[in-house]
Amino acid sequence: MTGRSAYSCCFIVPPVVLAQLAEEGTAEDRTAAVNTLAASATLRAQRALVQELGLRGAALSKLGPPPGEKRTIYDMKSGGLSNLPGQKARGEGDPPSSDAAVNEAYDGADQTYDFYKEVLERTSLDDDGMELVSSVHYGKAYDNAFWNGRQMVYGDGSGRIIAAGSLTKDIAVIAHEMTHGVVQFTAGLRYSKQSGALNESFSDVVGSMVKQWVNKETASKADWLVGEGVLGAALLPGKALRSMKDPGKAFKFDNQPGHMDDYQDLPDDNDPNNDNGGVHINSGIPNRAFYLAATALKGCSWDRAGLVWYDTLANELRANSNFVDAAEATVESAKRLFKEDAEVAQAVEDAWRKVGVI
Amino acid sequence: MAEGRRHLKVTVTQSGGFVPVVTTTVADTEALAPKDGRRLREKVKQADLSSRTLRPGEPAYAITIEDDDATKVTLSESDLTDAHRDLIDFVGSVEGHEERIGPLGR
Repeated sequence: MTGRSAYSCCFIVPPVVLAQLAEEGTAEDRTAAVNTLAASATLRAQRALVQELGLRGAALSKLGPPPGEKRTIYDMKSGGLSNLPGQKARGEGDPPSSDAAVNEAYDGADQTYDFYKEVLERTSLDDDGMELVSSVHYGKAYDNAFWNGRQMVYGDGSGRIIAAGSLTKDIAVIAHEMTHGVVQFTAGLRYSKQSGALNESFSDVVGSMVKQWVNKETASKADWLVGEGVLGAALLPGKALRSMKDPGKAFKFDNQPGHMDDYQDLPDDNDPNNDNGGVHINSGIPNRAFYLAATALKGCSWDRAGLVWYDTLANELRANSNFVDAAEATVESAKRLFKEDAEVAQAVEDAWRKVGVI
Repeated sequence: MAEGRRHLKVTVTQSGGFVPVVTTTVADTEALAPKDGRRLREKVKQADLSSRTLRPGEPAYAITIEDDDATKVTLSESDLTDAHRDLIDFVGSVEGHEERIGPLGR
């Protein structure tokens, strides 16, 4: 299964156009253009070096990075975005740091990379070996984590909203943020209303699956929590930031619906209260659909339901896909991937029916 | 009324990123010590009060400035300058500020 790479598709574009896009394009265009310009510059430098040294054949491969995983963790030392990515704290193959957050981000990126590689046969976020860049200790007691279009960013938490030092401790959080990168390189689900809620949901689905895979849990034994142990004092009582099994019951202010009857139709109007049209709210509905499908199929979530959801993301959905599109695509994907096993498509269809999408 | 004593209220609303809550912090000169009120006015002057389209997935901020008029700007994490960050941090920490944390949406 191959995702669409923002790198490769832009190499035919002249540098002058890329530079203009990097300055004036949309956020998506800017990210792709900057990535491509950086990659092009590296290639040009390599070609010049090759010519100068007169190298040929096998020697060329030694100029690039070694094949496989490449993780780099940076320390922001409480700095803001203008300081990204920060000071390099640990690179691929380096010994552990004395800093717990650095090691947790490094190990979590590894587990997520391995899950994508071994279970979903995807090589890094772009399916082309993209370096996994993470910055920890972002901002001052910053109560959040996010994917900025190029890398993962983790705050330390103030203790009030997010428990201090907790965001890199839950593998589901790390896998969630990394999967925003995968979504960017595959379906490119627009971060607004239902397509945005699907963007959030796919990130939760993989976040939870990586946690289950690491813990070697079956779907029925898993807790289906995302952001377990990260709640600060103001968000208690609660267990996590999201429950895929019981949307709306994870923490004090959790108002995720688990059924279309409770769907919140919010505007995407640049108002932070409205959450890009409810992307973190309505994601509870497709989250629960995945939980229902995975538990109905028994065994481990990644064996069948996970393959169907990933195939749908990587090959079937588009930027403006909505919940019905996702439901229909997962059923078709189940029929295609499991031709001899009709139980899979039936379980997927039943799950979307139970949450009221179809 | 002298400019230094004019009423000024700054409200910062934040959501987005991984954490599904809305945090609202308010600093109102009527509830602040006079020297903190002056600092608040100075920090508002330093910040660029022009809105940007929010960037997908990043934490989002709405800063509302209420004095003679009301001005509301929306910014993503990537658009915050040091002056914005300084203002947001001050509104969320000055003695006499208010803070509300609540659910997204309605």
